[in-house]
Amino acid sequence: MDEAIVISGLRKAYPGFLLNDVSFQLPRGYIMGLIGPNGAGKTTVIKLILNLVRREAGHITVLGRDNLREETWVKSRLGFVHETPAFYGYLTVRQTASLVSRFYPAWDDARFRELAGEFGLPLHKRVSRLSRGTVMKLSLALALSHSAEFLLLDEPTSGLDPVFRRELLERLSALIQDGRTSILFSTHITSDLERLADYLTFLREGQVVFSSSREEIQDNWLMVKGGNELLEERYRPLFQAVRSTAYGIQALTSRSEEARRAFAAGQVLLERPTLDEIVFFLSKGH
Amino acid sequence: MLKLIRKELIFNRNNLLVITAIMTGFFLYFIYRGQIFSPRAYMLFTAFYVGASLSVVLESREAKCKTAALTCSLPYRRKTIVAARFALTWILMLAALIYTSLLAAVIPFSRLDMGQALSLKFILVSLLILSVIFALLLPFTIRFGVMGVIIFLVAIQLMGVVTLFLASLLRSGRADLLSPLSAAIRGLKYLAGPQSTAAHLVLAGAAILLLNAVSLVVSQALYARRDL
Repeated sequence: MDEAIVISGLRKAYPGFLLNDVSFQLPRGYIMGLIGPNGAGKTTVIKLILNLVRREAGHITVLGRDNLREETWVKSRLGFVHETPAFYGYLTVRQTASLVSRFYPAWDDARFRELAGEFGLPLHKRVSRLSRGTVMKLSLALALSHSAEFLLLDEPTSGLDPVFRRELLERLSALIQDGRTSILFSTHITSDLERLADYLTFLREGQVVFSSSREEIQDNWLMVKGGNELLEERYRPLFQAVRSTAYGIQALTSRSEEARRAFAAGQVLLERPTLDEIVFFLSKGH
Repeated sequence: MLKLIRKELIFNRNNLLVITAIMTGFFLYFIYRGQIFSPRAYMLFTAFYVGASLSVVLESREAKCKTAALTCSLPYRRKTIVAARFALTWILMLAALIYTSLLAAVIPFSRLDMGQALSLKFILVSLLILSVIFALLLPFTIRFGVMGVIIFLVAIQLMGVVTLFLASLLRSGRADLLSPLSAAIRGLKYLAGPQSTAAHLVLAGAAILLLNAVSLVVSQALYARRDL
């Protein structure tokens, strides 16, 4: 299958943080959600793809080309939204678009105007006077106006009101219908991804906990609820995370078939976990 | 690269206008007080001022606005981004030298005879001084960012004090303590003087190119290593 991005063995160390052996891939024409708690390494992965930070090991291939050796080619086909977008404050929205447009041969000014209208961007207002949400909308409009084949969106819904957030998610969903556009979308708002993502990669403390399709996650992960007997040694290897409450035990497993076999009907309650529950349990660990 | 140069120009236009206004006022004063400054001192001072201020402005503004991530996300290699900034700074420095020379030449109340300074030899000396300042400053600001700029500005102030001190030492006959500095000054004077030959000028030209090439390569390497 044609891949939008292939990441293998990625490593980057900061004082007090190590992104280690990160590997995942996304087929072209799909959306991947990059999830994980704060400080898990989501932004670092996106920065590594854009070569904003130097990797210490590993390889990144975007649209079939190495992101460092063919950096210019790769970046000309990328649309990006940074976690905290920074623009030249004294330029107006119109001037900012004009400035950015010169760098992309495929820039479509009519499309930008259309998006600016839909997003309610004040074209003649200085960027420094825009709210955080509006700056994010500007960043999105710029990313969507040059026919990017791969969109890298770092927390794009943060600072947006719920109505626009929903509209944006619908727009992103429509974008990939052409079968050529792919999106890597980092967020900690898991409800966004349940609606949108085809694939999910979960990062925790700089490591990939899982990276698979939404269907696989739904099939493989299971929430087991029961009494304290779930803490017995023989069951322990089944669980990725366990939470003990006053009313019993909740445990998360990615070995759903084995769990179903291990527990007799009626002994425990087996439920399909929400993405939010998976993220919560895996973030908290045992 | 032209697109990047244009972007930097647009990005820095307000700062450049302010610098031009300050520079105009500053140099008009020097032009008016022409009996104190020789045209050559004026030219050298201009080279120093322009070299120091412009190379700092481009780097510090990007750091202040935190737009480095935006610039480096555009479809260019970091090497090209640094090369564009390098080229733009040189264009602006040369434009500023021409501008201040024109100011001194055409302003009616000017007391400077710029004909004395506008010789090939003296222009070469000015470019050499510009290159030394710029070659040191560009990697320095790229490596240390805004803090580097602040340190540099403090260092410039200290350099003024040290220069005055050195000048007093030279005058008091203790020039042996300052042999490298005095040798450099003698070298520049020799280069600008009538006894320097074409070979010396070629060597000076080569030194200018070499200094700039090394500065550019070091700056590109430093910028490529920077995490944004």
